[in-house]
Amino acid sequence: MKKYSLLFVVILTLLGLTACSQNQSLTVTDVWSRPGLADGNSAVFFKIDNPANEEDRLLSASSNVAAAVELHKTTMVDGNMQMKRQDYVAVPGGETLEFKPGDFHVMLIGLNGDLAVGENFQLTLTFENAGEVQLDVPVQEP
Amino acid sequence: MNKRVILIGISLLAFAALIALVLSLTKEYQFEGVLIDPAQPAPPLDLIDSKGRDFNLEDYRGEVVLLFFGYTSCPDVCPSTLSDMKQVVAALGEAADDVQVVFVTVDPQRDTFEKLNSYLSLFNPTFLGLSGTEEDLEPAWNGYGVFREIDTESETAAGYLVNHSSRLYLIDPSGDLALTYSFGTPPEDIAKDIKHILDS
Repeated sequence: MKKYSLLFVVILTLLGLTACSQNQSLTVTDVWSRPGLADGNSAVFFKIDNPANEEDRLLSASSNVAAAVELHKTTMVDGNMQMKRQDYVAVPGGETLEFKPGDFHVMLIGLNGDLAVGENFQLTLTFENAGEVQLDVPVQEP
Repeated sequence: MNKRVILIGISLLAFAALIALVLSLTKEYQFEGVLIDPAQPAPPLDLIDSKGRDFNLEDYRGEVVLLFFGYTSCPDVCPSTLSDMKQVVAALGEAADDVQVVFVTVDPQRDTFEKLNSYLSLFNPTFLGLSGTEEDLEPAWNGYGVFREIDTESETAAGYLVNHSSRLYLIDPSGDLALTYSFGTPPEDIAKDIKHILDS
């Protein structure tokens, strides 16, 4: 009987841990990209929800639709737009960070072809803790 | 006696309604943009448009010109503003025939007329791009107090980025610089101001 009780406790603990880890996995939602022209640039936006207790970092993004993919942030200084490349973007634990126009964005540089509204493409985000997150990105008007 | 009271009551109500009507008609319209008071003659834009024609602001008397300074390699603020302009034009309906959106490059080295034309067509084929040599563009940038700085410090595959002013300028039908808008002003607010100007 004791043996079964112990087994029961172990199973419950494992179930609890699994549920916990599922709840704490980082998610990326509301993904979209601006349209763009071949050889031109575009940008991808989304929301990153990090329910874990500790900070995660978006280290890079990659896609085969552009010659280069970089993390950028737009800031307004006295009404003037400044854009800076980011080495990484920190997503604090328990918070949601939004990549949005006029703020953080994934910059697609040197598009290999036109990105037309209605099309989709693949983008991979690489996080320090969560690892790779594959995204299916719809091209749409804001 | 009762009839008299009713008559007085009706008279008072009619008077109050009249006062409310007069007040609503005389109430000054509150612009959503930053009003330039008094409005100043819009500095000239002696440049070439993206269709290869000489551009002259005076040709747009009687219309509202929405003016923005940016560059086609810009992935964020410029396309955001042009998307907003697209929504402004859509919100105006037929009145949009009296509105011209003009995009002046701050990056003449990379923004060829062809590039400007195809880029603006992504948003609306009626939008006009203006460019020229840096010498031609300087008076336009200076005239509108446009900040422009080539950022060569950031290492990016884009080659270089251009930091620039993000304000939108509204030139009224008499050719005066009347209003400016900060980045992110809702398109419906801009459309509302334009409707008021065109109806005045």
